[in-house]
Amino acid sequence: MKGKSWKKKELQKELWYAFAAPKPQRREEFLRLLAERALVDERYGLHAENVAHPNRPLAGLPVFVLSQIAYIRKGIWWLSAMIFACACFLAASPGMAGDGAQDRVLWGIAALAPLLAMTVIAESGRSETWEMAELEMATRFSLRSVVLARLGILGLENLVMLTLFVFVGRGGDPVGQEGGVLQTGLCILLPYLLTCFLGLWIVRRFRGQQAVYWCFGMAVCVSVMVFTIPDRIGYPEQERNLIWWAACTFMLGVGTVKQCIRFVGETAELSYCLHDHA
Amino acid sequence: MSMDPKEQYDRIYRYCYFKLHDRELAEDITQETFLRYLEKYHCDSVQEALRCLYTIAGHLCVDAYRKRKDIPLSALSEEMAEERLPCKEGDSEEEQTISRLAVRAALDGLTEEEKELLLLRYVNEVPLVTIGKILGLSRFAVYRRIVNASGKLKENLRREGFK
Repeated sequence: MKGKSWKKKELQKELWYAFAAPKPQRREEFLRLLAERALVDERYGLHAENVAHPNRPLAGLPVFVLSQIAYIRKGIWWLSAMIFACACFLAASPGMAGDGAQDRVLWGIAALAPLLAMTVIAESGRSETWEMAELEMATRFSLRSVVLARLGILGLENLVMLTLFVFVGRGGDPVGQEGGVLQTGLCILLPYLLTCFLGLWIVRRFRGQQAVYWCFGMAVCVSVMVFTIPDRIGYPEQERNLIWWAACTFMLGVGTVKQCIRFVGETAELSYCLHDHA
Repeated sequence: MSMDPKEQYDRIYRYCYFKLHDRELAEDITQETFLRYLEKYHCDSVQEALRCLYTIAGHLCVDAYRKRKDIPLSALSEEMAEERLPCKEGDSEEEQTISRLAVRAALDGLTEEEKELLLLRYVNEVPLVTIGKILGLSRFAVYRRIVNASGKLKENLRREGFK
């Protein structure tokens, strides 16, 4: 054997043996799954948009988040648009003329904020309401990602709407003389955050259609409260009241964030339980 | 998808196994490589697809190597026992075993980078340009290094008594 000479091809073959790996055990199963997935992607056109843009991420975070806009119910967008139209109508209404007109407009708009919050809550609990959570767990993207993406989109939309509310609430003059933007913002943000906080708590506690009814009832109660309570507790224009309003808004903001984290966490736990029992 | 996963699966797996010497881990990383590629990239040319696949696999192997705990000796001996290779027709089993041991011994005298180059070029048959892109080298640098590695391998074999 010693003294044997190898041609290049033979040496290449010996290298092939020298670098050989043990036989893979899950190859066929994996390739079958890949083929099935490619078929599904082709059927739903997931590759089609990428053909025009080679090397572009197929389903990166921005693409995924943007794709979720299409899955938010049209009714939610219409409802938001209607709430904004109501706010504009309220501000331009001849009945709102006279002494204290600006305050009346402001509280009217603040009373609409809970309804705006309802759009987020209704969408966040949609999977639970229609008892589709289990099915959605089995989809390509996790329910947690979907919920987070939709909450993010609607949160952003509500932020824009609230900014517009502040503008409309100041009668188109956000830096007017009577009170600042901060006071106007607090008047609108407090009922909004209160509705979000309570709504998310309800969505976590109750299941199905029951949660929607409770949320709707709660939002109406908050709206009515906005009209009646500030007269008794004092407007945030006064400095002493402003601190209380700011503190309450801050606490409700923290509470809402906590409720959001728990809500998303419970979605993940549900997923874990389902996979555990599968 | 421009490249065929069936065609590339074994090659990527061999590359991962070369890096990690752990069958289970190499197979996990091979599958993860394909999933990541399909999730994030869509390359028109096979060469570009190969570059993506080998780059992803290389990075995943580095991550796995850092995380990995020591492998028990029993698991290693089980794998080595299963690693019996097919024999070529014509030569006796003894001759083939001696040849392979000689090639392995000669390969041990090369650096990891040289071994990786030989694996990519001669075993996985990756084009020079693509190897250059994977390793961040020019085509000519890759060619020179492969020629040097082959020369070194042949020299080591000569020392073992092979021509």
